[in-house]
This record gives sequence, structure tokens and C-alpha cells, in this order.
Amino acid sequence: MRILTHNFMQCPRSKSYPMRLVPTEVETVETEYSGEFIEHMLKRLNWDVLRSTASELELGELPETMPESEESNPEAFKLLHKILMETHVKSGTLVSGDGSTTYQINNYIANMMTTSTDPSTSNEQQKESEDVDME
Amino acid sequence: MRHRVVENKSCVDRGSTPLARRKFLHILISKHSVGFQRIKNTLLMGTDYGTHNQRPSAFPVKDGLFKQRDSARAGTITGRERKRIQRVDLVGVVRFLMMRFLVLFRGTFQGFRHPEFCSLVRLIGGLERADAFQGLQPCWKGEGNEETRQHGDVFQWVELDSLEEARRIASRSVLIRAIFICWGCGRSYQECLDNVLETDPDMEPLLSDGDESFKCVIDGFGRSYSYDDQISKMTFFTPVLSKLKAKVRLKKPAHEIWIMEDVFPSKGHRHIPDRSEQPRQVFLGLKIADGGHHYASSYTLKRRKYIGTTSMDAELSFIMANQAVVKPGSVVMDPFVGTGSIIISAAAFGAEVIGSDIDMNVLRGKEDRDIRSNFSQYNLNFPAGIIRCDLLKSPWRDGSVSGGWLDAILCDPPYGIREGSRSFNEYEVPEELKAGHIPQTKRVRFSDHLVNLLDFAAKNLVVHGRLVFWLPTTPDYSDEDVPTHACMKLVSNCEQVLTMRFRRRLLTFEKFHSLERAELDSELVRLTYGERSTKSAHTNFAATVLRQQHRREETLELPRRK
Repeated sequence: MRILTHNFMQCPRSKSYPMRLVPTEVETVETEYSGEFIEHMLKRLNWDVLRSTASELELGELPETMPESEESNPEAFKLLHKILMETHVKSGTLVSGDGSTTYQINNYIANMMTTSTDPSTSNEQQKESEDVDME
Repeated sequence: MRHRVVENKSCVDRGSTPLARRKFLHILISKHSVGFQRIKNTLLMGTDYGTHNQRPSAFPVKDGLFKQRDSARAGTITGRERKRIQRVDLVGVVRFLMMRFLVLFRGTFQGFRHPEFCSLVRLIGGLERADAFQGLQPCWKGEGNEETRQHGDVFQWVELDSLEEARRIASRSVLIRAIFICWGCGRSYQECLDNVLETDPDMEPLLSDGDESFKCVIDGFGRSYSYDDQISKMTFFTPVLSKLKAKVRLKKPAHEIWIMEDVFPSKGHRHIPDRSEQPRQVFLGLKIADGGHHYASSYTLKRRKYIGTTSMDAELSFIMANQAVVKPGSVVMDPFVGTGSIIISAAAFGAEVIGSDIDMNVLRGKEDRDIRSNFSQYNLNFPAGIIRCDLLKSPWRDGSVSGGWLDAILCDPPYGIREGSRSFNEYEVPEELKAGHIPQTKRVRFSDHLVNLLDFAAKNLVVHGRLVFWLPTTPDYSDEDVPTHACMKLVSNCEQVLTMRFRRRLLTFEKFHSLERAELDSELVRLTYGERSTKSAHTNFAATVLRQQHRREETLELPRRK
């Protein structure tokens, strides 16, 4: 899961936004830079959430106000590319805004359906007991 | 002055060739010289319009057409000039300035040809261009019922702005085989040859004996030819081909001249064509662009490492991505992602993709094969997110608050044959079991999913974003089965027949205004659809198609194990 996706997610139970992202394993995959895409995404992103997530994850400090265009702040765009496009969260947790629910990220997949409250003991790999009726 | 344009109708009909167009322009300019100075200059400056196929960007006639629609969008022409231009039949002039192309489609997915083409015009040219697009015209105007017609119409005329536009459309389309500049056509070989000689098309690049090279290709729709047959057909066109000075090169020629035969069986598509049957249409054309069928063949499921029972055919998923107007930088989501077969096509077109599914097993994959391994197999950027979630309890920030964020939603919702529609089952979990508990899911009615999908799309799509999904139906389908939403407009609805009892329809919706304006209506629409949904063809779909009563939706709602 990438930081880009995190910016659009809320807790499905409490509807709180944003969720706190606590990664345990982060990977960087180099991708081709496209300033156009970043500019086009900026209008849809929540800047404050993105900024605080980036600094919590120690990815870099983004300027306080959203840069208007690539020309006005090319460094910020480079950093945004690194944050939004190249940083993949391999495992970790998502904690809802009020702290009531914790969701696991395992092998790049975020599981938004756990009812678990304690992140340390939850075991994602446990065999699912959900297939009630066979197709 | 309309009648004068009509007078030159024969030229308009032959407008497919640059030379004919130039002749027509001269007539037009000499007859309507007053007020046409500017057009004349522009056009005479670019007399090579036919060969360069690039119109000067500030072309007054076209601007004039748009100004007729929207006077506020005044541009390069003064009010006086505009009035003069408008006196002439501008539509006629513009139509004539458009280039006419011959499109050769593949023989499959006949119902999808027109919608895909329109979507691609919109993709390449934008909303305004799509509004002005005139559509495809079948070349065959003869007899035949609707079904036979659809099957046989692989040859279609289309009017486009430029060669560039035609090339870009063809390169994205999986249904187009090739696009041609037609040199001549007729109901028989003789008619076709006469037509070529009479219209005298512009064969410019091939007339010089420089480095240009070409080869001749014989193509019969529904037939193949022996070597001798091919030679005799080429020899027939000697009067035309002998004019060409370019070298003949069979390997990697710069140009290809196609002799195309339409030998559709006269009795209809269900009959085997007779060898003795004469072609109903013959075309001679210069190929200018190849279709994008290589997408379907290089992404074929046969060689994909991770697939499942519901993986979408590569060709159809590319059609879906085209229908959704996916372009580089679009954000695309599939809420029923499964093995990721649909988002792969969007990612191949350069989109950022997000997939979610309720089934953890399919997301997790097997051993070293999962959705990510499919993306690395094709050297695509990894998806922006793979999320296990329930569409009915969406983990996505409510888009209606902050404006949409998705450019397209593509999906094949589970309808109960191979995968059932499921939802998170809410129940109390004892405190001591909460750690590591994975919640149960239960079956829900397909129509609940459908209504939710539309609602989700209306909330999260940007304005003019598209929702493309498959609706399973039976032959009992009626247009009332299609769900409606106050913000979503049905753009196209095409059927794919799978078996006698099982069909599916590819529905394309476009969000045409933001949610706030329609919020009140949407509630109303949802309620009316709720009543109708119990009578539609997709209600109890699995039970109807498989004729198994125990698959009825109401029986599935009860959990069997507690």
C-alpha cells in the first residue's frame, strides 16, 4: 500500500479520518517521475494529512502550503514523487483516529475488516473461518 | 447558401481523398469569395494540408463552428467575419474538411465497436470533440436483419480531424484491425477499379521513386486465398498499381496497400460461406494505422502467472479500460479486484490502480504468485493499494465531502455463479476471541451490491469520471433492469451472449454532475430501483441460470453454520 492510498482512507467502523499509519516495513521502488501526475493529484489530496504522515514516517518535510505548480517548487515535487509513488508500506498497522480499531497491513495488503483491538497479538495468517457456504 | 454546397455533393462524397478535397475547396472559395479571404489564405498557405494533414492551429472555420454553439468563446475571428462565415453552410464545410477513413474491425464483439470508438474519440480529443463526433457509418447499406448486420459490419466509414487522430485511436483500440485511406470501393472488383480511376485519389507518398516502399495485401473478411488467387487479384488492379513508382518490398515496407473483400455470407452469419459466393463489397485502400490488438495478445490469460476462476479475459478488460477513458495518470479502482485481471489493463495504459476485495485468500495469492507478481510479470508499476474491505462498509473517505478522487471504476461484480456477492456479517465477538478474529461474511443480494456500487461511484468519481461494469442477464432482459442514479448517466450498454440462458452486458456510466446537486433525487431513485430490482432479469441470477432453487438469494442470506 502506498501513502497515496492512505490519504483517501477512513476507518470503516468509526468513519474517522485520517487514520494513523504505523509501518513496520517500508520499501522504496523507483518509478518514473511524472510532475504532471503529481500536479493533477494535488487537488484531490488532503495536504495536511499528507504532510503530517510524511513527517511521522520521516520521509521528509513538506512545505506548509501546497505548492501550486512544478515550476514554483521543484524540490517539493521531487519529494512528493518519492512519498506518493515510490514508498510502499509492506507491513504495519492502520489505527483509526479515535484509537479504537487497529487494522493490519501484511504483505502490502491492508485488511480493513478485522475486529481486533490489540495489534500485538493479532495473527493475520490464521486460517479464515468465513467460507460458510461453498459456491 | 446551403444549396451550393449540396451542388458539390459529389465532391463531398469523394472527400476521402486530399485531392478531391482540394478541388472542392477551390470551387468553394471561387464561388463564395467574399469574406473568405481569411479562409483562403489559411488554406492556401497550407495547400499541403492533404499530405501533411496538419491544419494550422487557429483555423477559422472550425473556430467558427464552435462559436455558433457558444458565442462567449470568442477567439480569433471578429464578429463581422463570423457573420459572413456563418452564412455559408459551415457544417458542410467542416464535414468536408474532416478526413474520411475506412475502419476495418475484427470480427468479434460486434456490439462493442461503436461505444469503444466513441470513447476513444473522447479520450484523444476531449469532451468537446466527442460532442461533435458524427459516429461510425457502416459501409454496407444493403439488406440484412439487425443481427446479421451487426456481425457483418466490419467495414465502417468514419470522419476524423486528422491522420494523427486516426492513428492514436487505432493504437488504443483492441477491436480495430486497421484504419485506411480508401482509394476506391464498389460492389464488385470492376466497380472498385472504376471508382479508383474516376476519383483519382492522391497517392502522393508512393508516386515518387525515392526511398518509399510498399507491398500489396489481400484480405477477405471470412475467407482466405491461395497464392495464385492473390496474384490474380493484384494483377486486376494493375491500372492503379502501375502508377506507383515506389519500390515493392515484402519485408517491412513503409506502406501497405490493402485489397479488401467483404464476403459475408448472403444468407446470414449463421451460414457457412460458399466458396463460389461473390464479394458484396471490394475496397482498395492505403493502410495508415494498425489496431491495438497486440494488447490483448500480450496480456493473454494463457500466459499470466496468477489467475483465478473469475479472471477477466484480456481483450474485454482492455475494452473496459477504453470505455472508461483511462489515460496515463488516471486513478482507477476495481472494488471486486480478485486476481487483478481488470486493473492490469488500466495499469498498462498508465493509470494508477487500486484494488479491493472481500476475499482475503484471493488477494493473498498462492506461494509466490499474487496480484503483485502479475504486475511485475508485465513490468507495470505496482498498484497504489490492495485493500481487503467490504464495499457496503467502505473504508474510503467520503468523496462527497471533498469532491471526487477516482477517474474510473472498473469491475465485474460477483453474481453468484462462480463467486457470490458477500458482505461483512456484523455480530458480537466475545472479548477473549477478539484477537486475531477474522470476521465472517454473509451472502447479500446482487441488486444490493449494484445499488451500492452506483452510490459509491457517484460519491467517489470526479465529474465526468466513468463507471464500467458487467451486469449478468438472461434473454428476459429489459432496459428497466439497468439501475439508475441521479448523478450517473448511462453512456453505453452492450451485450455479450455467453450461452443460451446466460448473457452479460457491459454498462458504462458517466458521472455528469456533482453529488450535492442530486443528493435528494438520488434517495428517490434508489428507492424506486429497490422495488424494481426484485423483478429484473438478474434477480436470483444463479438460481435461474443453473436451475437450482437452493441458490435463490433469500435462502442464501441465512448463515448455515453458527
